[in-house]
Amino acid sequence: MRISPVWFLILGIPLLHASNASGLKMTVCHMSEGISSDQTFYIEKDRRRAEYRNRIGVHYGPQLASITRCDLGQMFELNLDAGEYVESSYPPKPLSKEERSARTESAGSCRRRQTDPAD
Amino acid sequence: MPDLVADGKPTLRIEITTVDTSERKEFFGHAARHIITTRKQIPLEGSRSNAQQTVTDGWYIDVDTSISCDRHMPEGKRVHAHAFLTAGNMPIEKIEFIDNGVPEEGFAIEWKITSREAIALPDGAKKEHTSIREMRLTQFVEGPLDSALFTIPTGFLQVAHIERNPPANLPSQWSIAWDRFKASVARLFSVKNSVEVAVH
Repeated sequence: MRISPVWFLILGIPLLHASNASGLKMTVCHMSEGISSDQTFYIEKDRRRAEYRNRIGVHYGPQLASITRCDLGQMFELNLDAGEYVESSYPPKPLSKEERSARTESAGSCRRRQTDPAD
Repeated sequence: MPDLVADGKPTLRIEITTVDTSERKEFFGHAARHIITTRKQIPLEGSRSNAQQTVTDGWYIDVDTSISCDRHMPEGKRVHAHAFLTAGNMPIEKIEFIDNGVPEEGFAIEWKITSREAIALPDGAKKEHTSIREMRLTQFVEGPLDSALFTIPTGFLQVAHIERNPPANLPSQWSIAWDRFKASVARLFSVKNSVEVAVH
């Protein structure tokens, strides 16, 4: 049986359309008290990249990016200015007993600092 | 029906009212709906919290921006993350949540949040504080993406900690003002010198 090449073209159109719509790039602008900041997101089915900068008042931190990869089960946070990165598992694993107790201790020291400004 | 999150009489009521204005607009090929959500925090008997009202005037579209390994909330059910509230040494608040209208679950492309809070001053007087925050999507492009965006660039070094924030030793307002003064004096003298050079 002879199959017309036109069928391949017709059947291929939805596939081409799907590949075009596979990604999303968006920029979000936040404004508060006269100061604006932008975040840019790149999203595909199993991965995401966010680009942003932290801010204290009018002072900005370094250019940052976070990359989440479902296929690797990992998240990477990058300091783009310093050329450095850290990696962690994603979704985050539940904290171990040791980690939980370490966080409780650290929260306790925060409380102490709050109640005793002389420290 | 109020949703009590802890035993006993609630001390704080959080009432969330969602209203669809029926307004619609086109947003990069998607139909956006205009929704106004009002969240009222009402202190009840025994509460130490301030009264608050937050109005979110937003536009929403139906786009799934999650990725396959994101944790999803149960569909059609609002999860009240804060069952009770603590602040410093203040007693724990028991909160009741009341939802009016259908909670909006779409993706926000634009919102303006106006928050009003009646703050209790040390002398017992109340002062109203209003703050406004805005968000807007300025770019929304659907299409293929460069795979390099999702990889670590060559030459990047793996470390135990990266710096995420502005430097801790930020200059104070006084030192900024002093630096500006010194710079303007220096400019003044450099202009004077160049004028003198030009005269001679």
